[in-house]
Amino acid sequence: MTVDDAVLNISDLRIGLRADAEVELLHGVSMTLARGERVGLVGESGSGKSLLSLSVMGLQPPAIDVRSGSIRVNGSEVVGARDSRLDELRGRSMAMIYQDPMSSLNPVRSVGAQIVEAIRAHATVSRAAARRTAIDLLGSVGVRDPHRTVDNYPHEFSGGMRQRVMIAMAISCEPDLLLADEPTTALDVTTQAKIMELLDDLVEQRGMSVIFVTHDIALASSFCSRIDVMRRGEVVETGPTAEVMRNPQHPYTSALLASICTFETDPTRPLLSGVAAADALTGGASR
Amino acid sequence: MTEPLIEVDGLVKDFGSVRAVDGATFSIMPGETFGLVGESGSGKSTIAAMLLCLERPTAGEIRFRGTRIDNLAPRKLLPIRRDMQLVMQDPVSSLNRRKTVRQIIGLPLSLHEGLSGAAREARIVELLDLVGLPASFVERYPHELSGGQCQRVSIARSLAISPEFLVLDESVSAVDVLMQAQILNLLNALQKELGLTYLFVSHDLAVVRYMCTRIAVMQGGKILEVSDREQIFSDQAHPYTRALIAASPASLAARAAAEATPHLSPTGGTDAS
Repeated sequence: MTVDDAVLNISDLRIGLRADAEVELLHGVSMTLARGERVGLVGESGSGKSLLSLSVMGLQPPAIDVRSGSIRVNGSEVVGARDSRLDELRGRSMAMIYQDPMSSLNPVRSVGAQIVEAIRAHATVSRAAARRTAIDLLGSVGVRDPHRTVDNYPHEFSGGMRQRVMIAMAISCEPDLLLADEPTTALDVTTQAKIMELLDDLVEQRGMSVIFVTHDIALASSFCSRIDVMRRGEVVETGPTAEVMRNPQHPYTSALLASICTFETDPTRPLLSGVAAADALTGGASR
Repeated sequence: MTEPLIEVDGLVKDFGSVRAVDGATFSIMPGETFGLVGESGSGKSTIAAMLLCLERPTAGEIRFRGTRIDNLAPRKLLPIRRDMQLVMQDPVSSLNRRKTVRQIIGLPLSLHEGLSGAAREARIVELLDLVGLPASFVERYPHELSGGQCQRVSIARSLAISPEFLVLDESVSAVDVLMQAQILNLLNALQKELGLTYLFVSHDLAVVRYMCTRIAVMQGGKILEVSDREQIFSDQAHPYTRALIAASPASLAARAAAEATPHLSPTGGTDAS
Protein backbone atom coordinates (compact mmCIF):
# COMPACT_ATOMS: atom_id res chain seq x y z
CA MET A 1 0.00 0.00 0.00
CA THR A 2 1.39 3.37 -0.90
CA VAL A 3 0.54 6.44 1.10
CA ASP A 4 -1.77 7.59 -1.69
CA ASP A 5 -4.11 4.56 -1.47
CA ALA A 6 -4.53 5.16 2.23
CA VAL A 7 -7.87 6.52 3.38
CA LEU A 8 -6.06 8.30 6.18
CA ASN A 9 -2.44 9.23 6.49
CA ILE A 10 -1.23 11.14 9.52
CA SER A 11 2.44 11.96 9.69
CA ASP A 12 4.41 13.44 12.54
CA LEU A 13 1.46 15.44 13.84
CA ARG A 14 2.31 17.92 16.57
CA ILE A 15 -0.46 19.82 18.29
CA GLY A 16 -0.27 22.27 21.15
CA LEU A 17 -1.90 25.17 22.91
CA ARG A 18 -2.05 28.30 20.80
CA ALA A 19 -1.46 30.51 23.83
CA ASP A 20 1.52 28.61 25.25
CA ALA A 21 4.33 27.33 23.06
CA GLU A 22 5.58 25.20 25.96
CA VAL A 23 2.46 23.03 26.01
CA GLU A 24 2.45 20.29 23.39
CA LEU A 25 -0.47 17.84 23.47
CA LEU A 26 0.34 15.47 20.61
CA HIS A 27 4.03 14.73 20.17
CA GLY A 28 4.53 13.63 16.59
CA VAL A 29 1.79 11.08 15.94
CA SER A 30 1.90 9.06 12.73
CA MET A 31 -0.77 6.65 11.54
CA THR A 32 -1.93 5.13 8.27
CA LEU A 33 -5.31 3.58 7.66
CA ALA A 34 -6.01 1.39 4.62
CA ARG A 35 -9.43 1.09 2.98
CA GLY A 36 -11.68 -1.06 5.14
CA GLU A 37 -9.21 -1.14 8.01
CA ARG A 38 -10.43 -0.68 11.59
CA VAL A 39 -8.09 0.78 14.15
CA GLY A 40 -8.83 0.89 17.86
CA LEU A 41 -7.34 4.04 19.39
CA VAL A 42 -7.04 3.13 23.06
CA GLY A 43 -5.89 5.04 26.11
CA GLU A 44 -7.06 6.69 29.32
CA SER A 45 -8.77 10.08 29.66
CA GLY A 46 -6.41 12.82 28.57
CA SER A 47 -4.17 10.60 26.45
CA GLY A 48 -4.96 12.63 23.34
CA LYS A 49 -7.11 10.12 21.48
CA SER A 50 -10.15 12.39 21.14
CA LEU A 51 -7.99 15.36 20.21
CA LEU A 52 -6.45 13.28 17.44
CA SER A 53 -9.82 12.25 16.01
CA LEU A 54 -11.19 15.82 16.22
CA SER A 55 -8.10 17.09 14.41
CA VAL A 56 -8.71 14.64 11.57
CA MET A 57 -12.15 16.22 11.15
CA GLY A 58 -10.58 19.69 11.39
CA LEU A 59 -12.69 20.25 14.50
CA GLN A 60 -9.99 20.87 17.10
CA PRO A 61 -10.94 23.61 19.59
CA PRO A 62 -9.88 27.18 18.69
CA ALA A 63 -7.34 27.26 21.54
CA ILE A 64 -5.48 24.38 19.88
CA ASP A 65 -2.94 24.81 17.18
CA VAL A 66 -1.57 22.25 14.71
CA ARG A 67 2.15 23.04 14.85
CA SER A 68 3.52 20.67 12.28
CA GLY A 69 2.83 17.48 10.43
CA SER A 70 0.13 16.44 8.05
CA ILE A 71 -3.27 14.75 8.03
CA ARG A 72 -4.39 13.50 4.63
CA VAL A 73 -7.83 12.05 4.04
CA ASN A 74 -8.18 10.35 0.65
CA GLY A 75 -5.02 12.21 -0.30
CA SER A 76 -6.37 15.66 0.64
CA GLU A 77 -4.57 17.71 3.25
CA VAL A 78 -6.69 18.67 6.26
CA VAL A 79 -4.08 20.69 8.15
CA GLY A 80 -4.45 24.32 7.15
CA ALA A 81 -7.32 23.55 4.76
CA ARG A 82 -9.94 26.23 4.25
CA ASP A 83 -13.41 25.73 5.70
CA SER A 84 -14.89 25.27 2.23
CA ARG A 85 -12.41 22.47 1.53
CA LEU A 86 -13.11 20.86 4.91
CA ASP A 87 -16.84 20.98 4.18
CA GLU A 88 -16.23 18.99 0.98
CA LEU A 89 -14.31 16.35 2.94
CA ARG A 90 -16.71 16.15 5.87
CA GLY A 91 -19.70 13.95 5.22
CA ARG A 92 -18.46 12.31 2.05
CA SER A 93 -14.85 11.45 2.90
CA MET A 94 -15.12 11.37 6.66
CA ALA A 95 -17.75 11.54 9.37
CA MET A 96 -17.80 11.30 13.12
CA ILE A 97 -19.98 9.79 15.84
CA TYR A 98 -19.67 11.20 19.34
CA GLN A 99 -20.09 9.78 22.80
CA ASP A 100 -23.18 11.65 23.89
CA PRO A 101 -25.99 11.44 21.34
CA MET A 102 -28.29 13.64 23.43
CA SER A 103 -26.02 16.66 23.37
CA SER A 104 -24.93 16.08 19.76
CA LEU A 105 -28.48 16.17 18.42
CA ASN A 106 -30.51 19.37 18.26
CA PRO A 107 -33.32 18.93 20.81
CA VAL A 108 -35.79 21.24 19.06
CA ARG A 109 -35.69 19.69 15.58
CA SER A 110 -37.00 16.31 14.50
CA VAL A 111 -34.34 13.70 13.76
CA GLY A 112 -35.57 13.55 10.16
CA ALA A 113 -34.97 17.27 9.68
CA GLN A 114 -31.45 16.86 11.06
CA ILE A 115 -30.58 13.95 8.79
CA VAL A 116 -32.06 15.79 5.79
CA GLU A 117 -29.91 18.80 6.67
CA ALA A 118 -26.79 16.61 6.78
CA ILE A 119 -27.58 15.05 3.42
CA ARG A 120 -28.37 18.34 1.70
CA ALA A 121 -25.28 20.04 3.13
CA HIS A 122 -23.14 17.67 1.08
CA ALA A 123 -25.23 16.70 -1.96
CA THR A 124 -27.60 18.49 -4.31
CA VAL A 125 -30.84 16.61 -3.78
CA SER A 126 -34.42 17.70 -3.26
CA ARG A 127 -35.88 17.86 0.22
CA ALA A 128 -38.30 15.04 -0.65
CA ALA A 129 -35.50 12.78 -1.93
CA ALA A 130 -33.39 13.52 1.13
CA ARG A 131 -36.32 12.64 3.36
CA ARG A 132 -36.73 9.30 1.57
CA THR A 133 -33.02 8.65 2.11
CA ALA A 134 -33.37 9.60 5.79
CA ILE A 135 -36.18 7.07 6.22
CA ASP A 136 -34.12 4.38 4.50
CA LEU A 137 -31.13 5.21 6.70
CA LEU A 138 -33.16 5.05 9.90
CA GLY A 139 -34.42 1.66 8.80
CA SER A 140 -30.91 0.43 8.04
CA VAL A 141 -29.64 1.40 11.51
CA GLY A 142 -32.47 -0.53 13.14
CA VAL A 143 -34.81 2.31 14.16
CA ARG A 144 -38.28 0.76 14.21
CA ASP A 145 -41.10 2.14 12.09
CA PRO A 146 -38.92 4.80 10.38
CA HIS A 147 -41.81 6.30 8.36
CA ARG A 148 -43.32 7.49 11.61
CA THR A 149 -40.25 8.00 13.82
CA VAL A 150 -38.52 10.21 11.23
CA ASP A 151 -40.68 13.04 12.59
CA ASN A 152 -39.88 12.32 16.25
CA TYR A 153 -37.64 14.52 18.38
CA PRO A 154 -34.44 13.27 20.06
CA HIS A 155 -36.05 13.08 23.54
CA GLU A 156 -38.58 10.59 22.21
CA PHE A 157 -35.79 8.03 21.64
CA SER A 158 -33.90 5.89 24.18
CA GLY A 159 -30.13 6.37 24.52
CA GLY A 160 -29.38 3.43 22.26
CA MET A 161 -31.87 4.58 19.61
CA ARG A 162 -30.44 8.12 19.69
CA GLN A 163 -27.00 6.68 19.03
CA ARG A 164 -28.50 4.82 16.04
CA VAL A 165 -29.85 8.16 14.76
CA MET A 166 -26.35 9.66 15.10
CA ILE A 167 -24.92 6.74 13.16
CA ALA A 168 -27.56 7.21 10.43
CA MET A 169 -26.53 10.84 10.14
CA ALA A 170 -22.82 9.98 10.03
CA ILE A 171 -23.22 7.43 7.21
CA SER A 172 -25.75 9.53 5.27
CA CYS A 173 -23.16 10.71 2.72
CA GLU A 174 -21.36 7.36 2.58
CA PRO A 175 -18.03 8.42 4.07
CA ASP A 176 -14.87 6.42 3.46
CA LEU A 177 -13.64 7.07 6.99
CA LEU A 178 -15.75 6.83 10.13
CA LEU A 179 -14.40 8.32 13.35
CA ALA A 180 -16.22 6.85 16.33
CA ASP A 181 -15.31 8.59 19.59
CA GLU A 182 -16.46 6.45 22.54
CA PRO A 183 -19.78 5.84 20.74
CA THR A 184 -21.03 3.36 23.35
CA THR A 185 -19.48 4.63 26.59
CA ALA A 186 -22.71 6.30 27.77
CA LEU A 187 -24.76 3.15 27.13
CA ASP A 188 -25.26 0.07 29.26
CA VAL A 189 -23.58 -3.16 28.19
CA THR A 190 -26.59 -4.77 26.52
CA THR A 191 -27.28 -1.70 24.37
CA GLN A 192 -23.55 -1.34 23.74
CA ALA A 193 -23.37 -4.88 22.36
CA LYS A 194 -26.23 -4.12 19.96
CA ILE A 195 -24.67 -0.87 18.74
CA MET A 196 -21.34 -2.65 18.19
CA GLU A 197 -23.12 -5.30 16.15
CA LEU A 198 -24.80 -2.59 14.05
CA LEU A 199 -21.50 -0.80 13.46
CA ASP A 200 -19.89 -4.09 12.50
CA ASP A 201 -22.59 -4.78 9.87
CA LEU A 202 -22.58 -1.24 8.44
CA VAL A 203 -18.80 -1.00 8.24
CA GLU A 204 -18.62 -4.41 6.59
CA GLN A 205 -21.37 -3.66 4.02
CA ARG A 206 -20.08 -0.22 3.12
CA GLY A 207 -16.36 -0.99 3.25
CA MET A 208 -15.67 1.96 5.55
CA SER A 209 -12.40 2.49 7.39
CA VAL A 210 -12.87 3.17 11.09
CA ILE A 211 -10.99 4.83 13.90
CA PHE A 212 -12.66 3.54 17.04
CA VAL A 213 -11.70 5.66 20.05
CA THR A 214 -12.20 4.04 23.45
CA HIS A 215 -10.67 3.59 26.88
CA ASP A 216 -11.77 -0.05 26.85
CA ILE A 217 -9.17 -2.19 25.12
CA ALA A 218 -11.41 -5.27 25.38
CA LEU A 219 -14.18 -3.54 23.46
CA ALA A 220 -11.70 -2.25 20.87
CA SER A 221 -10.34 -5.75 20.40
CA SER A 222 -13.81 -7.09 19.61
CA PHE A 223 -14.21 -4.71 16.69
CA CYS A 224 -10.81 -3.68 15.36
CA SER A 225 -8.15 -5.39 13.31
CA ARG A 226 -5.43 -3.18 14.75
CA ILE A 227 -4.88 -1.52 18.12
CA ASP A 228 -2.99 1.74 18.60
CA VAL A 229 -2.32 2.51 22.26
CA MET A 230 -2.03 6.20 23.11
CA ARG A 231 -0.58 7.68 26.23
CA ARG A 232 0.24 11.31 26.98
CA GLY A 233 0.03 12.40 23.37
CA GLU A 234 2.03 9.58 21.86
CA VAL A 235 1.25 6.25 20.24
CA VAL A 236 3.23 3.91 22.50
CA GLU A 237 2.25 0.63 20.87
CA THR A 238 0.67 -0.46 17.61
CA GLY A 239 -0.01 -3.88 16.21
CA PRO A 240 -2.55 -6.44 15.02
CA THR A 241 -5.27 -6.89 17.66
CA ALA A 242 -4.46 -10.51 18.48
CA GLU A 243 -0.78 -9.73 19.02
CA VAL A 244 -1.35 -6.66 21.19
CA MET A 245 -3.90 -8.53 23.30
CA ARG A 246 -1.82 -11.69 23.70
CA ASN A 247 1.62 -10.22 23.91
CA PRO A 248 1.60 -6.52 24.82
CA GLN A 249 5.00 -4.87 24.42
CA HIS A 250 4.50 -1.66 26.36
CA PRO A 251 3.91 -1.81 30.14
CA TYR A 252 1.09 0.71 29.74
CA THR A 253 -0.73 -1.70 27.42
CA SER A 254 -0.29 -4.41 30.05
CA ALA A 255 -1.81 -2.10 32.64
CA LEU A 256 -4.81 -1.39 30.39
CA LEU A 257 -5.33 -5.13 29.92
CA ALA A 258 -4.93 -5.90 33.63
CA SER A 259 -7.44 -3.21 34.61
CA ILE A 260 -10.31 -4.98 32.86
CA CYS A 261 -12.74 -7.19 34.75
CA THR A 262 -13.34 -10.38 32.78
CA PHE A 263 -15.35 -13.40 33.85
CA GLU A 264 -12.03 -15.13 34.61
CA THR A 265 -10.62 -12.39 36.87
CA ASP A 266 -9.80 -13.79 40.32
CA PRO A 267 -12.12 -11.94 42.75
CA THR A 268 -9.76 -12.61 45.65
CA ARG A 269 -6.92 -10.61 44.09
CA PRO A 270 -6.70 -6.86 43.47
CA LEU A 271 -6.94 -5.74 39.85
CA LEU A 272 -3.70 -4.64 38.21
CA SER A 273 -1.76 -6.89 40.56
CA GLY A 274 1.24 -8.38 38.88
CA VAL A 275 1.59 -5.33 36.66
CA ALA A 276 4.83 -3.98 38.03
CA ALA A 277 4.56 -0.56 36.45
CA ALA A 278 0.83 -0.07 37.03
CA ASP A 279 1.18 2.31 39.96
CA ALA A 280 3.68 4.56 38.32
CA LEU A 281 1.86 4.45 35.01
CA THR A 282 -1.53 5.36 36.33
CA GLY A 283 -0.07 8.00 38.60
CA GLY A 284 -2.56 7.07 41.28
CA ALA A 285 -2.09 5.71 44.74
CA SER A 286 -3.65 2.32 44.16
CA ARG A 287 -4.35 0.74 47.47
CA MET B 1 -26.49 -17.56 62.66
CA THR B 2 -25.79 -13.99 61.66
CA GLU B 3 -28.79 -11.73 61.13
CA PRO B 4 -29.04 -9.88 57.80
CA LEU B 5 -28.14 -6.18 57.89
CA ILE B 6 -30.86 -5.42 55.38
CA GLU B 7 -34.01 -7.34 54.54
CA VAL B 8 -36.20 -6.35 51.63
CA ASP B 9 -39.58 -8.01 51.32
CA GLY B 10 -42.02 -7.66 48.43
CA LEU B 11 -40.86 -4.15 47.57
CA VAL B 12 -42.99 -2.29 45.00
CA LYS B 13 -42.59 1.23 43.63
CA ASP B 14 -44.98 2.92 41.22
CA PHE B 15 -44.29 6.22 39.52
CA GLY B 16 -47.74 7.20 38.23
CA SER B 17 -48.83 4.29 36.08
CA VAL B 18 -45.31 2.91 35.72
CA ARG B 19 -44.27 0.09 38.04
CA ALA B 20 -40.53 0.73 38.44
CA VAL B 21 -39.96 -2.02 41.01
CA ASP B 22 -42.23 -5.03 41.10
CA GLY B 23 -42.00 -7.22 44.19
CA ALA B 24 -38.28 -7.28 45.08
CA THR B 25 -37.24 -9.60 47.90
CA PHE B 26 -33.65 -10.14 49.07
CA SER B 27 -31.40 -9.69 52.08
CA ILE B 28 -27.88 -8.36 52.54
CA MET B 29 -25.58 -9.88 55.16
CA PRO B 30 -23.16 -7.74 57.19
CA GLY B 31 -19.77 -7.41 55.51
CA GLU B 32 -20.85 -8.69 52.12
CA THR B 33 -21.00 -6.97 48.75
CA PHE B 34 -24.42 -7.57 47.26
CA GLY B 35 -24.71 -6.91 43.52
CA LEU B 36 -27.68 -5.46 41.66
CA VAL B 37 -27.24 -5.80 37.91
CA GLY B 38 -29.47 -4.94 34.95
CA GLU B 39 -29.82 -2.49 32.10
CA SER B 40 -31.00 1.14 32.24
CA GLY B 41 -34.56 1.36 33.50
CA SER B 42 -34.57 -2.07 35.14
CA GLY B 43 -35.26 -0.52 38.58
CA LYS B 44 -31.81 -0.88 40.18
CA SER B 45 -31.43 2.75 41.20
CA THR B 46 -35.03 2.93 42.45
CA ILE B 47 -34.30 0.04 44.82
CA ALA B 48 -31.11 1.80 45.94
CA ALA B 49 -33.08 5.02 46.60
CA MET B 50 -35.68 3.14 48.66
CA LEU B 51 -33.01 1.43 50.77
CA LEU B 52 -31.58 4.87 51.52
CA CYS B 53 -35.09 6.10 52.40
CA LEU B 54 -34.92 8.68 49.62
CA GLU B 55 -38.03 7.18 47.99
CA ARG B 56 -40.96 5.63 49.82
CA PRO B 57 -42.07 2.22 48.61
CA THR B 58 -45.60 1.82 47.25
CA ALA B 59 -45.76 -1.53 49.00
CA GLY B 60 -43.44 -3.94 50.80
CA GLU B 61 -41.03 -3.64 53.71
CA ILE B 62 -37.40 -2.72 54.29
CA ARG B 63 -35.72 -3.68 57.57
CA PHE B 64 -32.33 -2.41 58.72
CA ARG B 65 -30.85 -4.47 61.56
CA GLY B 66 -34.28 -5.95 62.11
CA THR B 67 -36.08 -2.58 62.37
CA ARG B 68 -38.57 -1.44 59.75
CA ILE B 69 -37.34 1.78 58.12
CA ASP B 70 -39.58 2.24 55.09
CA ASN B 71 -42.41 3.87 57.09
CA LEU B 72 -40.41 6.00 59.55
CA ALA B 73 -41.13 9.70 60.06
CA PRO B 74 -38.39 11.90 58.53
CA ARG B 75 -36.86 12.92 61.88
CA LYS B 76 -36.60 9.29 62.97
CA LEU B 77 -34.61 8.63 59.81
CA LEU B 78 -31.69 10.81 60.92
CA PRO B 79 -29.91 8.19 63.08
CA ILE B 80 -30.39 5.59 60.33
CA ARG B 81 -29.05 7.94 57.66
CA ARG B 82 -25.80 8.05 59.64
CA ASP B 83 -25.41 4.34 59.07
CA MET B 84 -25.96 4.37 55.32
CA GLN B 85 -24.32 6.49 52.66
CA LEU B 86 -24.34 6.77 48.89
CA VAL B 87 -21.55 7.06 46.32
CA MET B 88 -22.95 8.34 43.03
CA GLN B 89 -22.05 7.73 39.42
CA ASP B 90 -20.68 11.05 38.29
CA PRO B 91 -17.85 11.98 40.64
CA VAL B 92 -17.45 15.46 39.19
CA SER B 93 -21.05 16.67 39.33
CA SER B 94 -21.67 15.09 42.74
CA LEU B 95 -19.09 17.44 44.30
CA ASN B 96 -19.87 21.13 44.82
CA ARG B 97 -17.41 22.83 42.49
CA ARG B 98 -17.32 26.00 44.58
CA LYS B 99 -16.08 24.20 47.70
CA THR B 100 -12.61 22.94 48.53
CA VAL B 101 -11.98 19.31 49.42
CA ARG B 102 -11.69 20.46 53.06
CA GLN B 103 -15.20 21.97 52.94
CA ILE B 104 -16.66 18.98 51.06
CA ILE B 105 -15.38 16.36 53.50
CA GLY B 106 -15.64 18.68 56.50
CA LEU B 107 -19.39 19.38 56.16
CA PRO B 108 -20.66 15.97 57.32
CA LEU B 109 -18.05 16.05 60.10
CA SER B 110 -19.42 19.35 61.43
CA LEU B 111 -23.07 18.39 60.94
CA HIS B 112 -23.09 14.85 62.25
CA GLU B 113 -19.98 14.52 64.40
CA GLY B 114 -19.86 18.05 65.82
CA LEU B 115 -16.17 18.29 64.96
CA SER B 116 -14.39 21.62 64.47
CA GLY B 117 -10.92 23.12 64.34
CA ALA B 118 -7.91 20.85 64.68
CA ALA B 119 -9.95 17.72 65.41
CA ARG B 120 -11.93 18.22 62.21
CA GLU B 121 -8.79 18.90 60.18
CA ALA B 122 -7.11 15.76 61.55
CA ARG B 123 -10.14 13.65 60.62
CA ILE B 124 -10.22 15.14 57.08
CA VAL B 125 -6.56 14.24 56.58
CA GLU B 126 -7.20 10.77 57.99
CA LEU B 127 -10.08 10.26 55.54
CA LEU B 128 -8.00 11.48 52.60
CA ASP B 129 -5.28 9.03 53.59
CA LEU B 130 -7.87 6.26 53.76
CA VAL B 131 -8.79 6.85 50.10
CA GLY B 132 -5.18 7.23 49.01
CA LEU B 133 -4.98 11.02 48.61
CA PRO B 134 -2.29 13.27 50.14
CA ALA B 135 -3.14 15.79 52.89
CA SER B 136 -2.21 18.65 50.55
CA PHE B 137 -5.45 18.01 48.63
CA VAL B 138 -7.53 19.80 51.30
CA GLU B 139 -7.01 23.12 49.52
CA ARG B 140 -8.04 21.86 46.11
CA TYR B 141 -11.26 22.45 44.21
CA PRO B 142 -12.95 19.64 42.24
CA HIS B 143 -11.84 21.11 38.89
CA GLU B 144 -8.24 20.68 39.99
CA LEU B 145 -8.77 16.92 40.40
CA SER B 146 -9.01 14.08 37.89
CA GLY B 147 -12.23 12.05 37.64
CA GLY B 148 -10.69 9.26 39.70
CA GLN B 149 -9.52 11.69 42.39
CA CYS B 150 -13.01 13.24 42.53
CA GLN B 151 -14.46 9.78 43.09
CA ARG B 152 -11.96 9.21 45.93
CA VAL B 153 -13.05 12.50 47.55
CA SER B 154 -16.65 11.44 47.10
CA ILE B 155 -15.90 8.13 48.87
CA ALA B 156 -14.04 9.96 51.67
CA ARG B 157 -17.10 12.20 52.16
CA SER B 158 -19.36 9.15 52.35
CA LEU B 159 -17.08 7.54 54.93
CA ALA B 160 -16.77 10.69 57.06
CA ILE B 161 -19.57 9.75 59.45
CA SER B 162 -18.41 6.11 59.68
CA PRO B 163 -21.41 4.44 58.04
CA GLU B 164 -21.86 0.69 58.11
CA PHE B 165 -23.54 0.39 54.74
CA LEU B 166 -22.58 2.02 51.43
CA VAL B 167 -24.71 2.11 48.29
CA LEU B 168 -22.42 2.23 45.26
CA ASP B 169 -24.72 3.25 42.41
CA GLU B 170 -22.75 2.86 39.17
CA SER B 171 -19.86 4.38 41.10
CA VAL B 172 -17.26 3.33 38.56
CA SER B 173 -19.28 3.63 35.34
CA ALA B 174 -18.19 7.15 34.43
CA VAL B 175 -14.43 6.69 34.76
CA ASP B 176 -12.02 4.97 32.37
CA VAL B 177 -10.91 1.38 32.93
CA LEU B 178 -7.64 2.24 34.69
CA MET B 179 -9.43 4.48 37.18
CA GLN B 180 -12.16 1.91 37.53
CA ALA B 181 -9.66 -0.79 38.49
CA GLN B 182 -8.10 1.44 41.13
CA ILE B 183 -11.44 2.52 42.61
CA LEU B 184 -12.59 -1.12 42.78
CA ASN B 185 -9.35 -2.06 44.55
CA LEU B 186 -9.85 0.85 46.95
CA LEU B 187 -13.44 -0.19 47.72
CA ASN B 188 -12.34 -3.76 48.45
CA ALA B 189 -9.50 -2.57 50.69
CA LEU B 190 -11.83 -0.21 52.59
CA GLN B 191 -14.36 -2.98 53.08
CA LYS B 192 -11.72 -5.18 54.68
CA GLU B 193 -10.31 -2.39 56.80
CA LEU B 194 -13.62 -0.94 58.04
CA GLY B 195 -15.91 -3.97 57.87
CA LEU B 196 -18.32 -2.22 55.47
CA THR B 197 -21.35 -3.72 53.76
CA TYR B 198 -21.93 -2.72 50.13
CA LEU B 199 -24.82 -2.66 47.72
CA PHE B 200 -23.05 -2.54 44.36
CA VAL B 201 -25.25 -1.39 41.46
CA SER B 202 -23.97 -1.76 37.89
CA HIS B 203 -24.99 -2.68 34.37
CA ASP B 204 -21.76 -4.60 33.76
CA LEU B 205 -21.98 -8.18 35.01
CA ALA B 206 -18.22 -8.76 34.67
CA VAL B 207 -17.55 -5.98 37.18
CA VAL B 208 -20.40 -7.15 39.44
CA ARG B 209 -19.06 -10.71 39.43
CA TYR B 210 -15.60 -9.45 40.43
CA MET B 211 -16.94 -7.36 43.31
CA CYS B 212 -19.92 -9.29 44.67
CA THR B 213 -20.42 -12.53 46.55
CA ARG B 214 -24.15 -12.59 45.72
CA ILE B 215 -25.83 -11.08 42.69
CA ALA B 216 -29.44 -10.09 41.98
CA VAL B 217 -30.25 -9.84 38.26
CA MET B 218 -32.99 -7.32 37.44
CA GLN B 219 -35.09 -6.72 34.36
CA GLY B 220 -38.22 -4.59 33.96
CA GLY B 221 -38.55 -3.92 37.70
CA LYS B 222 -38.36 -7.58 38.69
CA ILE B 223 -35.56 -9.52 40.30
CA LEU B 224 -35.18 -12.52 38.02
CA GLU B 225 -32.80 -14.41 40.28
CA VAL B 226 -30.42 -14.01 43.20
CA SER B 227 -27.38 -16.24 42.90
CA ASP B 228 -23.93 -16.80 44.30
CA ARG B 229 -21.07 -15.47 42.22
CA GLU B 230 -20.20 -18.77 40.56
CA GLN B 231 -23.81 -19.80 39.89
CA ILE B 232 -24.27 -17.14 37.21
CA PHE B 233 -22.44 -19.45 34.79
CA SER B 234 -24.49 -22.55 35.61
CA ASP B 235 -26.97 -24.13 33.20
CA GLN B 236 -29.78 -23.18 35.58
CA ALA B 237 -28.97 -19.46 35.28
CA HIS B 238 -31.77 -17.29 33.87
CA PRO B 239 -31.54 -16.70 30.08
CA TYR B 240 -31.30 -12.95 30.73
CA THR B 241 -28.28 -13.53 33.00
CA ARG B 242 -26.67 -15.39 30.13
CA ALA B 243 -27.54 -12.48 27.80
CA LEU B 244 -25.82 -10.06 30.20
CA ILE B 245 -22.74 -12.28 30.23
CA ALA B 246 -22.75 -12.39 26.43
CA ALA B 247 -23.05 -8.60 26.13
CA SER B 248 -20.09 -7.81 28.39
CA PRO B 249 -17.07 -6.29 26.57
CA ALA B 250 -14.97 -9.09 28.06
CA SER B 251 -17.18 -11.66 26.29
CA LEU B 252 -17.25 -9.69 23.03
CA ALA B 253 -13.45 -9.62 23.12
CA ALA B 254 -13.18 -13.31 23.92
CA ARG B 255 -15.54 -14.24 21.08
CA ALA B 256 -13.69 -12.04 18.62
CA ALA B 257 -10.38 -13.55 19.67
CA ALA B 258 -11.77 -17.05 19.22
CA GLU B 259 -12.79 -16.32 15.64
CA ALA B 260 -10.29 -16.15 12.85
CA THR B 261 -11.52 -12.72 11.83
CA PRO B 262 -11.23 -9.85 14.25
CA HIS B 263 -14.89 -8.96 13.74
CA LEU B 264 -17.85 -9.41 16.00
CA SER B 265 -20.04 -12.43 16.14
CA PRO B 266 -23.77 -11.95 16.57
CA THR B 267 -24.63 -11.42 20.21
CA GLY B 268 -27.38 -13.89 20.83
CA GLY B 269 -30.20 -13.34 23.24
CA THR B 270 -30.00 -9.58 23.77
CA ASP B 271 -33.43 -8.75 22.38
CA ALA B 272 -35.30 -5.44 22.55
CA SER B 273 -33.54 -2.25 23.52
